[in-house]
Amino acid sequence: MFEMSMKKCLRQVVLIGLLSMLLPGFTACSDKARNEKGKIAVVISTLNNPWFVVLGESAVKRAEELGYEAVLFDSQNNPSKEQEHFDNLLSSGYKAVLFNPTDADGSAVNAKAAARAGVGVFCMDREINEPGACVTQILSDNYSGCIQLGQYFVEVMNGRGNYVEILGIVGDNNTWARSRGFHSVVDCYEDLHMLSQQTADFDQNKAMEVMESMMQANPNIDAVFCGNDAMAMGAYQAVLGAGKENHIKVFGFDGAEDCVNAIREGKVEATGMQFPKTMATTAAELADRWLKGERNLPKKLPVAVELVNGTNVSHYGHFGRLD
Amino acid sequence: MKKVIKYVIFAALFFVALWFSFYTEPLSVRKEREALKQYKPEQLVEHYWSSGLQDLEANALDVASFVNALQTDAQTLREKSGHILGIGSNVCYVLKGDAENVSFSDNEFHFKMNGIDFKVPAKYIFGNTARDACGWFNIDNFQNTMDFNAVSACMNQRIKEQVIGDKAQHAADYTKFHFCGSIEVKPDAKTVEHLTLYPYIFELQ
Amino acid sequence: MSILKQPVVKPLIALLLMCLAMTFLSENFATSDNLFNVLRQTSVNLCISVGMTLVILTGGIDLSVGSVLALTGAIAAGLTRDGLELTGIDTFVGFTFWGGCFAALLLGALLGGFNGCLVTHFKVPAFVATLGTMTIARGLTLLYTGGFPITKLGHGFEVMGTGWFLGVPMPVWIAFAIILFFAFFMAKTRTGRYIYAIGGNEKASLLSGIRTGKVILLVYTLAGILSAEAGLLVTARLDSAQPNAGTGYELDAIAAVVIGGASLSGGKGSIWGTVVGALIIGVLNNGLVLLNVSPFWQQVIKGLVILLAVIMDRYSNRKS
Repeated sequence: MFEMSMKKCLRQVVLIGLLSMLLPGFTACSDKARNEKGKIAVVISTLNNPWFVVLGESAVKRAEELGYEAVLFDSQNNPSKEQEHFDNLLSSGYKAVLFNPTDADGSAVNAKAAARAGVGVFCMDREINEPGACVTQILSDNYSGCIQLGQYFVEVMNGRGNYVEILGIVGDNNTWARSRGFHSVVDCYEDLHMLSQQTADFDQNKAMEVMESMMQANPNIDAVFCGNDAMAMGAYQAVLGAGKENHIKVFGFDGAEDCVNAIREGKVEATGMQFPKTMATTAAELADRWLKGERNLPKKLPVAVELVNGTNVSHYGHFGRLD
Repeated sequence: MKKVIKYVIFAALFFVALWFSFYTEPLSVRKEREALKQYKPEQLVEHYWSSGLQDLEANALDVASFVNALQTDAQTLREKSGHILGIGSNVCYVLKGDAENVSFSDNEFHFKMNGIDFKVPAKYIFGNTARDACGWFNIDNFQNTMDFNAVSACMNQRIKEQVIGDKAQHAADYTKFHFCGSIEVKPDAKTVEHLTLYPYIFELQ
Repeated sequence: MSILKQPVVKPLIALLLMCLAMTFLSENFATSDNLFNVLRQTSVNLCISVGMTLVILTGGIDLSVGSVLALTGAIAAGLTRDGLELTGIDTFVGFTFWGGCFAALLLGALLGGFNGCLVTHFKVPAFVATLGTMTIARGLTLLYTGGFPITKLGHGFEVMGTGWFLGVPMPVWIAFAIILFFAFFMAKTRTGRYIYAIGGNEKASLLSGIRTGKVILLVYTLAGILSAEAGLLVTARLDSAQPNAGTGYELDAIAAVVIGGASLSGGKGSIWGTVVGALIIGVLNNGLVLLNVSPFWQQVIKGLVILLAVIMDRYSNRKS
């Protein structure tokens, strides 16, 4: 009887063990060629938004062109997940990180840990409030970009009307840079009134719901300014659903493909083209220079944003300029 | 008896924990101390403006040489006198000169010089041109870009209130004035037809 | 033979086999850096899972652990960084790091006690009661933080989250201390035995003189305190309190307890089993990331492993 239960026990144990070995082995990637130049990690805040996918993939592509092995990590907009990625890459011998942080303050601890371990951190698109921890931060000049947008907004609205604002993630400095740039222009005009300001966390679905609620609460909205294009598309859906697409003017920011197409079709008024490919390739190139020994790189590198509206939209597309 | 001792020990531990947990101080004292730590861009702007204006004017380009250099050798001009914030940004310069036949309409002063139509806004002053052209502020020295942009907001405010001030009200008197101010041109421009000037100095002749 | 029959052995062997497999599949797994990473990352789940073990042993369940973690973490961060401003009497109450921790643990105890009260006094089923607390606590967290993360928390949190002591990370020490304490508590104290008894048969325990109400209240309160401790760890590791921290953590905790051999109907299970269960999940998470498996596949695999563990367990029970 003892032998029977012992055999059974062992059988079950071996079964569990084998299966738990096979499952990960089954899905493991094939061996990447051993690379002399080293590994670069590309940590992106979320791959749920095509703009960030372009940012991440351009960075990986450029790093690989320069001879490195580049791996893409998705933080899923979660600082805990981001920290796990940093834990893993710091113990796996990565030499540099091209980093798109989830939170300007919360991600600082990860950048500091990397800096302590001698790994170079190059921030892309979003900054962290701990400039000492990064080698370089490559940022879109969101403030100036939204000043241009604000000026166009005033032009389109003829200096008068009611509008609402949908903000992005409140922990991201970009959100406030854009909002402040916009307001630095628009607040000078007394006949333009902001009826409401809410956040939709840069998410398209949330923005649609927020816009629907705002339209319910304020029936006399003439325009909406959204902190990014995903939210602008969501807001447009809400406006369309309410049948007000010929009255409410929608403004976004990012230069995402679907929004640029919407501008071409006259559905959205304007957006600011950020150049994710430029930021990503610049980050990869600076990392390459740093790894080769160059040390006096700029701490902050702004990248200008260009206004895209109905008149010049033919020059833009695919997250950049077409010409 | 045992239960009482247990409760007394727990209570003692609880109060010890409380003792080490917090401290109090008057709210007004704390508020004052915190206010001193606040970032004040106005002080920064004031410091540079009061000490740097003379040098700025001395090194400024007069409009004629600017137009000339832009056409013949834009690259050297950019490297010598221009300020560029980042990749793809416009180039900022400081120009000086004496304007004549100035008119005022739509909250702006207008005049022509060396084939360029200048306008000086009196009411709607925004943007980073004033901050970037003078070269006093380097983005690397600021903890984050919001602090850096706050400097722009301060400078624009100062231009609106102190440099332009109420001159717009007496626009009729300002048909001639001396200026020293910032402008912005596209990186690949060889000629310009319209420029917006954000003045550091704006004086009646 | 009696050692082999201990319920913790099966998951333990599975864990060891997994580690062996990972060592062969990835050159970076068996380094001391990485193993400490796994332990550090699992420390949060370990705290919550120990509390969850106690609750599940009594036949209940606690879905509010994730939200309690977030709320207590936010309170600790907010009080330590900003203190309390009492404008009416012109007083500022500043909290030290220890004060913030104490406040968080106290709050965890209160919320746990609230759960326990609902279950024992108001006879609300544990699932529903803790579901309610989960939603309320999450709402309170969002209210308190205003949706913003609370950052720049100072030295105390930095040491707790990223500090090392005798070559081992601080969070691992904390989790280790908690495990030892509760293993001792369950095995050697009277209350520990009562918990098993209640899980086995609540009516019988009541009739034989055990104050089941008090014990169950204690169990939920302890779960609350442990969630608060986990909240402090998460806040310390990130140096910020995130308003949506802890989302989904209750599922990882329940998974750890179940893989460790506990029965959801109560009475069967052990702290050490849960520890192995949590480590299995931790090694799985870590291994899949090291092997570059897509995060979506990781979810699928984790689910399959949990189901596998439970099916194996049921199968063996039915046969014997």
